[in-house]
Amino acid sequence: MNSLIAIVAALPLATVAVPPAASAPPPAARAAAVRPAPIRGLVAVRPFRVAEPWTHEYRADRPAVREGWIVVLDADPALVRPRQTEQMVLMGGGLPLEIVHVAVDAGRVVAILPRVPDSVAIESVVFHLASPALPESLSVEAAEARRAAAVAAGLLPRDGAELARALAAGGGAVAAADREAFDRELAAAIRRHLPGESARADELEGRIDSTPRPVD
Amino acid sequence: MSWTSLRPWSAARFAFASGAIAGGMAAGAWAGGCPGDLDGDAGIGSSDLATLLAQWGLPGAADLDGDGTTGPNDLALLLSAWGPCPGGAGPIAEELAAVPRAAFPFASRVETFLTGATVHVAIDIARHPNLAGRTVDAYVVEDRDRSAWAADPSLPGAAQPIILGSDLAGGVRPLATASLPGPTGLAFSRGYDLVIDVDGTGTLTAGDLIDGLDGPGVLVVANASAAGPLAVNTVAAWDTNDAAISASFQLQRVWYPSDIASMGPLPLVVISHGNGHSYTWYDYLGTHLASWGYVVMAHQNNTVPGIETASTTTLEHTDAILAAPATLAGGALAGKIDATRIVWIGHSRGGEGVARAYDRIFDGTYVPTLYGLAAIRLVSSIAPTDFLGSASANPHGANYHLLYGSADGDVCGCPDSDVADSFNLLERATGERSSTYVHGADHNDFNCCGFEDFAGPSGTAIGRAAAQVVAKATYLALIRHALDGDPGAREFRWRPFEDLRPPGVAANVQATLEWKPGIATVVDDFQAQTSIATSSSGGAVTIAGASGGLEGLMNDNNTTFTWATSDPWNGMTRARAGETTRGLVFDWTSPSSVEFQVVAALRDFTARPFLSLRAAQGSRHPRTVALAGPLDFTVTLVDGAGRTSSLAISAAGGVVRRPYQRTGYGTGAGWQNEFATVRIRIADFAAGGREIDLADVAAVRLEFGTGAGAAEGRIAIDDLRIEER
Repeated sequence: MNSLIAIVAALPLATVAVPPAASAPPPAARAAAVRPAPIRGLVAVRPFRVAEPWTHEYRADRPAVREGWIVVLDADPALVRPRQTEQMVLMGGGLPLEIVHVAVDAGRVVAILPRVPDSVAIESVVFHLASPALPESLSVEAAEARRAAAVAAGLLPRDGAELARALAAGGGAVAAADREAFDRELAAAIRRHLPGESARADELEGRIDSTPRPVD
Repeated sequence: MSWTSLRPWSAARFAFASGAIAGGMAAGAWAGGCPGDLDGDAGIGSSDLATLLAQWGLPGAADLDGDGTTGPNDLALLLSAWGPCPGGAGPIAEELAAVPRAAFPFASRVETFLTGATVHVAIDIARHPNLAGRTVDAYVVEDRDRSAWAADPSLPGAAQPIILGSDLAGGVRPLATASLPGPTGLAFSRGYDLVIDVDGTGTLTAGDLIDGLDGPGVLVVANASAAGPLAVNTVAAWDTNDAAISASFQLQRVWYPSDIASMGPLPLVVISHGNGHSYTWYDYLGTHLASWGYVVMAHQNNTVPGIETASTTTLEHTDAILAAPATLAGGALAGKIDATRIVWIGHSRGGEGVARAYDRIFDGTYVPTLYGLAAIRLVSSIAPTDFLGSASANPHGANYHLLYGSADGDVCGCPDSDVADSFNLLERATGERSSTYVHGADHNDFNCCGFEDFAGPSGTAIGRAAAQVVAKATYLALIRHALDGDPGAREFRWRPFEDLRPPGVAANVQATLEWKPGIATVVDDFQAQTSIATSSSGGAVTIAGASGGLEGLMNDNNTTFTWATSDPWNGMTRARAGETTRGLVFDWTSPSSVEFQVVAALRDFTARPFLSLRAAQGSRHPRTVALAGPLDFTVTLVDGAGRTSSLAISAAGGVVRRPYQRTGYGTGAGWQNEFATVRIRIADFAAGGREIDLADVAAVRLEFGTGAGAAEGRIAIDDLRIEER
């Protein structure tokens, strides 16, 4: 119930549908009735390019990723806290972002926005939380419909000043040989922008303990 | 030495109306070593003659030709067989080990007992009238097989004298078994035979009773929630460096016995976590199972995109560890993982992912490198989602299990979303399947570190520690049964939780179990035949006195749990529209019944030992609210001659609980309808000398209301079957 209150309190009033029942359902069910929601801020943006592409598994057409942006953004923690059931989809324009890590209490997210053939310039991207779905199930058309819904709801691209600050905070463009090498850049982004989340950064950098040890 | 195995349904006063052998004795119409041996002393003598004369003109055990009365033909048959039983005399094998019950038949004959538990002996005095009022010696001895008993019939150890009464209840007596040694080492159960030394000779001789002539009669099991005997090593994070696995999802945590170098290939247990969860969150389960001799691996699971990607990581990580390269624990696992015995456990989205992974191999859309479908011996989902529906989130014929907490605040079992209805997956499983529904547990109680999502009533939370004790015991028993066929683990899948509660779990912790073994004779599953008046096996179904009787899809048809007559399937979170999981619902305020006519081809109920059905109270229905407690009812068998035998499900250990009193989704209290499997030993209907021909059962009648159980209630019924042990 506390989570529900947090969600309701965090959303713009006009974007919350009236719950169908006298008593409140939990957030997962309620999410299905929620309209597009904005992110709170764009913290960092860093262009990247990789020599060996990987597959973007967050849209049904599975586009290859050769370039794009590492993005760090702030959102309502209640909306980006990972859940099992229906959850709003974090999108950059018509493309669901690959979520690298979420600092759940802060609502800060490190993610990847690939540049794909239907991408628009970063200045025109509307970052938003779209109606719930499994990203892998979203067709190009379904994802585009969500982008259009966000625009129709009045959500806008980030303003120029914020984007400029984010690009500055992101650092210069980065090139990597492959995803494994690129993971180290993601780890760096986590260390810089999610300083309390070093465990995930360690994993991405391969700083792991693989020594067999007795269990106490 | 020769032996007599007294099949449980060949009860003493057992009349075979249709099974009479012309001019001879009815098959099975004996209590002891041979037909006519009414006192069970392995011979026909004066005691048997006296019994026959006492029953003259009446039906009963002495009605040897099965014509309904004891008469001249029976006398002739008995006299013609006078003397020792053909083939020589021997001990009498029958089920004796039991737990006591408060009402007829006063005991449930079972095999499995926790270490330190009191084993009861249950002797049906009507089958053994020679034992009425006698003091006899009981022995619980280390299990021997038939040939070992023949070679050495001595009964070691101290005899336990037990004083028997003269009726059915008087045949149920406790034994001093608290100090009976449990299994040692990696064994899960330890077998014993229970012997009643009728003649007091200290050896197993003719006329003695034995439970365990073929296989153990008593199985004392380990504390399944306690750590096993093996020291455990863990690799906190192994990087598979497997290019086939999605980028950034290539890590595993692995647990294995420290002394694996001296052990043969061990089964593999794979744990696939849920969304936002971590492969590092299952130390409690990985350590536990490794201490019992398994290699356990939890892997990074790609759950954010969806179930397809999650299933891919499960499939690929399984191959990765089976390769057991030198980079993993210095090669310690090379050749030590049995690629033919694999268990998949998934949590939340990972729980749906393991079902999807199985489905993909089943469908041929994914082909593993180092294992195949047959290697997946068990698939278990902890509170799985159901995004994909029956076409893809489908365990098919896998041995499938579902673990679920009633206070789950994430995959909540809510009526407004199919995605949150974990039990949809269970219902799709067509093979052997079971579920464990834990009251007061929430979604993240089954890992170490997920956020607090408890959504039940105040004061009902059992907490993470208790939930994990339940999970440890559940999984060890489940895996022992699925992988090893351990007979001592089998009853953990269906015996009431109260019977085999893991030590360390508080008495107020409740769990409801469903079990559906793969082999059964179906009387009515409500699916093959959709008419409420006809069973799926083709017999007539007659509902008398009850209200609201309806057969249909187990799918709550609106978005609340508020009771409404327009939603007769209220509380059912078991199916999506278009699926086939159907059942029967009705309610009552006065004596009522549902009778299932048994078609001719199925009337021999002696073919399998258990009558089984599943039942659930209807959540928030006014009758359920008024009952406010467990629901009892009576099961009656009607034979071809119209004779009946009834017993209450509570007297067979059956428990149909009050729905968990969680609120939300409308008015009132009560969460999803909670099916419990009720299994009744068919032979118990003939206990105490009841006259019923179990080889010719014409109808199964379920009786409700005052005199039969709860005075009022609302119930769902499904899967009336005759099943294997």
